[in-house]
Amino acid sequence: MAHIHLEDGSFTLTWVLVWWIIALACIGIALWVLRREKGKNQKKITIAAFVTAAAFALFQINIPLFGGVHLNLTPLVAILAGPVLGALVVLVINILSAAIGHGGWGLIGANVLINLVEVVVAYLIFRGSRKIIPDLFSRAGIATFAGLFCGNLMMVAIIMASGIQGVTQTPGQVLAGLSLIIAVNMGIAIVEALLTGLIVRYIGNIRPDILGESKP
Amino acid sequence: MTAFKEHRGIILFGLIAIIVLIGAYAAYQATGPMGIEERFNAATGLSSGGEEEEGSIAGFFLEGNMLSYLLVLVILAVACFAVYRHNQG
Repeated sequence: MAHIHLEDGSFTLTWVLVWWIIALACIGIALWVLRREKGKNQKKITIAAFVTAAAFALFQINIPLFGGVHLNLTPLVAILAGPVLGALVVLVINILSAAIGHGGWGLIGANVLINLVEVVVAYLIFRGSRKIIPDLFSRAGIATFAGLFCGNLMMVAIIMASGIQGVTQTPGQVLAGLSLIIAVNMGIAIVEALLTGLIVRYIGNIRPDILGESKP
Repeated sequence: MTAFKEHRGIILFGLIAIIVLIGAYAAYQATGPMGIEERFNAATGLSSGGEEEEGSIAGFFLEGNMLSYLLVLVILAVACFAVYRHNQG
């Protein structure tokens, strides 16, 4: 899903550092919150470990839909682990992905920020719409759509702000091209929304405490 | 009205899915069949080196190195087990 698939060197060093610094600042805040809430997140750490493994496994698999895209599972990470642990999960996934050759090292900062937007938006929508949409499947699905759409917007904003070295296209042409990428990426968001909805509904049926929901 | 209230979540989900599907199909028709990296390169005006699709199974393929992927997955599985055992006690 939303992930900058450009090689190292596409952004200037200044922009690489800017996105890394902002991403590290966000991770720093997440670590500070975790330290403050010492012990409260014990159970969630186990869940976070499992969703990290699952998200990493799926993140690398290219699905032959609309030419080729991959799932992120960031909304599921948000719903199950929360935004604080979710921030650490997306950092780990992006570092491990770069380590195996999926994505550039210099783009980890930017990609962490994109995934972080997905996590935060999906979490807020899932928690915030509890009264309006009590059904877990559709609430998780809608949160997934919203999170992934905002992640895509963040991706375009980062690319447009940074500029790409060595291209002759005007910013308008790049924006038009990236808009098509958003539309294609959102196509796979349907699969991700269905998957997230089904997993969340299943967990909600057997262990609603994990979701912070009362038993139906 | 009550039926709508009861099912508004799934109705909204369905509407979003239909809109998104139409948008994705239209964009796919405009760009043609391309892999992720090709699509990015085309959008940004970078020269494309083509997508690596070695070891593709029914169109599914792995991004990055297969051996490293399996190694990282094993490490993550062991870490999950360790965290689970630690927090169980």
